[in-house]
Amino acid sequence: MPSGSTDATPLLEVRNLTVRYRSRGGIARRHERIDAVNDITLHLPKGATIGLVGESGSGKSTLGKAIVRLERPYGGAVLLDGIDIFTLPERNFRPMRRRLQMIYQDSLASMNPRFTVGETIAEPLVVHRIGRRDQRSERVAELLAGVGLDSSMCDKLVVQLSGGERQRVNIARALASGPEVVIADEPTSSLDVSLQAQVLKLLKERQRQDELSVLFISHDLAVIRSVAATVAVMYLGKLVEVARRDDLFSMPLHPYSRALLLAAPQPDPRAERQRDQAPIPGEIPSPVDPPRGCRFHPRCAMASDICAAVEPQLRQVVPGHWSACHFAEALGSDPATLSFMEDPETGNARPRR
Amino acid sequence: MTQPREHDDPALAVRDLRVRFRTGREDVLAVKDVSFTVQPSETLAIVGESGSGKSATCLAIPRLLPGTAEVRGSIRFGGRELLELSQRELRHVRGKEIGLIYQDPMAALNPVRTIGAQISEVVRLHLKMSRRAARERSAELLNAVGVTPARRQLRAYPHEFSGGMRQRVVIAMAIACEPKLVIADEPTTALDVSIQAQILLLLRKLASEQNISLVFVSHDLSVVAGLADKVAVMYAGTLVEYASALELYESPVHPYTRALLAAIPDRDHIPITPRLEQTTRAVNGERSTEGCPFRRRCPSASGQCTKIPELTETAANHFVACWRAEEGGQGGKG
Repeated sequence: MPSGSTDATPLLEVRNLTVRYRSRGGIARRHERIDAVNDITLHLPKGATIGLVGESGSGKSTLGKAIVRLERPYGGAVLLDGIDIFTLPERNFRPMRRRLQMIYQDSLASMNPRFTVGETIAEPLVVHRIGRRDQRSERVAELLAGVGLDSSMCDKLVVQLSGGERQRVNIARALASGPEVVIADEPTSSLDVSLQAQVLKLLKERQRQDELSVLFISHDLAVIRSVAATVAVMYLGKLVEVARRDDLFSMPLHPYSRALLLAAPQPDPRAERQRDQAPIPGEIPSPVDPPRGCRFHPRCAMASDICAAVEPQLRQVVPGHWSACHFAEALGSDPATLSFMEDPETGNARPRR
Repeated sequence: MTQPREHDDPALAVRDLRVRFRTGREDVLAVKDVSFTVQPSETLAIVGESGSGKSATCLAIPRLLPGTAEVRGSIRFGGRELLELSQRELRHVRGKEIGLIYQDPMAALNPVRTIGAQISEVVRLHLKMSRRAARERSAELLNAVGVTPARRQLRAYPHEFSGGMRQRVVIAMAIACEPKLVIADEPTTALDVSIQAQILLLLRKLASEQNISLVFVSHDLSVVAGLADKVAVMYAGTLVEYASALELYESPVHPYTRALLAAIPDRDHIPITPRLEQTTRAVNGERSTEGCPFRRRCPSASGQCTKIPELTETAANHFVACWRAEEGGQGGKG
């Protein structure tokens, strides 16, 4: 099973999870069915960080929401400490919410605009009845300090904050109940580079100190690379590759991952000028009617007949490295893949053409 | 202010640009004495984080800033001083001679009209084309930007398109009248990386094929690396470094530029330049301080930094606003 590490019972287990949306249809339209998340299995052990990478339409945000029970699954399960969270009635699940928190991508949309910073961060403490009322302000101040904000912020309304400040409040709130698992959905996407660096550092510290497990969802490979030990790549609802970070970046075994790595621009004018074509042509297909066989095949430079006919399963190609591609082995032994990251002349990272 | 010495006839010459926003409560100097030029067929990247004034600068050029903005200085384009034109004259310049691309394509697209109608509107307005000719031109443009099959897509509505496709349509509208200058404000920030790669290549191709001068505003130095001939780095409303792209990436001089390059995340290294962590509000505060606005966050700051450094040429066509740079102190990769 794709996992954050090779040992131990995972703290969080996503098992064959499918999240399906149906549209009702009508006189002129038929029923449409979209499997935003399609048969995903992933294990997150204690203290591990898994980076979940994907572009729009990959289903990564839906997966994140399903894990915290904001979406109902069509099939499969999400297990926290071996218990399927979807089998519990709300009142039995509530105590588990304290252990399983989410950092939302859109901080403003996930906050009550009438709340102050202090009230926002204290809310989980109130809901889960953590600590006495007098202890809470101390805890809030502690949490604010942890995200680099001054306690004088407490009385400000959240709408008065800048994007970066609000995102930090978002993180403080997620950590307030002392969770064991945090699902971070694009926590740094709206932040400037300098703030991004600070937020990532904070998460890493908390992870180290509190043995926090993090599922870090992002479209940004560079950010994932700096936070995650294991990386999972999603495309159109499916997992296409899962590997340890260094393995994925040095030797991607799926054409989509490889192309994604190639597509990211580098701060290197000479290398960038050499590009003459985009690594991934076209657009992501509609999830209503995904391509037959491998979902990526219409956009894949390596596609052949079998790719259009048979959907490849996610399988372990080399120990610890899974890929859903019929030609994963070929990618592994392709020198173009191996010399992916370094220019022999300058030693700078650059993609091979 | 030392002017970058370049060819005599730039497509765009901005000199001592000042933009002040006056609202009832606040008075913010968003852009302070910024000067740069863009040669014909050249791409200038203006790079900075939020609060740097980069957007205010690029919107000042077509005079699209809100009424609360006070703009001073000189913006010469097409042999005219843009700040002296009337609104009517400006309307002819915008859309026809200056094309605009925003971060959010829906800022430029009307959701209730077909994209064919919207592109046609641009060419009929500025080029006085007949309806048929306009439709031909629209199809031609859609082909040029990769929205195909063009004839069918003319009848589509923006909501039927993905973000990347919409941005292609906006690009088509921006180049519809063969402008000399296109200003793009974070055009790929909202796009997936795979689509971004396509759009950046498209912009590069179009700019070169059609001899367009491009001003590309971004917060991301990686994104502009492939497109920019020249880069201007802004901080708290001022220009801190201005050089050719190769020079800037290979030999960044200003401590802020170096910090920006170092902050690009990679591998294990979560780069932290501790003093780089700040909020936009702090940057606004820095605008009004005496001396170099970057002083409080700069690892190399010293006593002389209480006086504001001027932009000086530290190497051929490489301009830096930093006292330490003038001393000949810094060079080489950060």
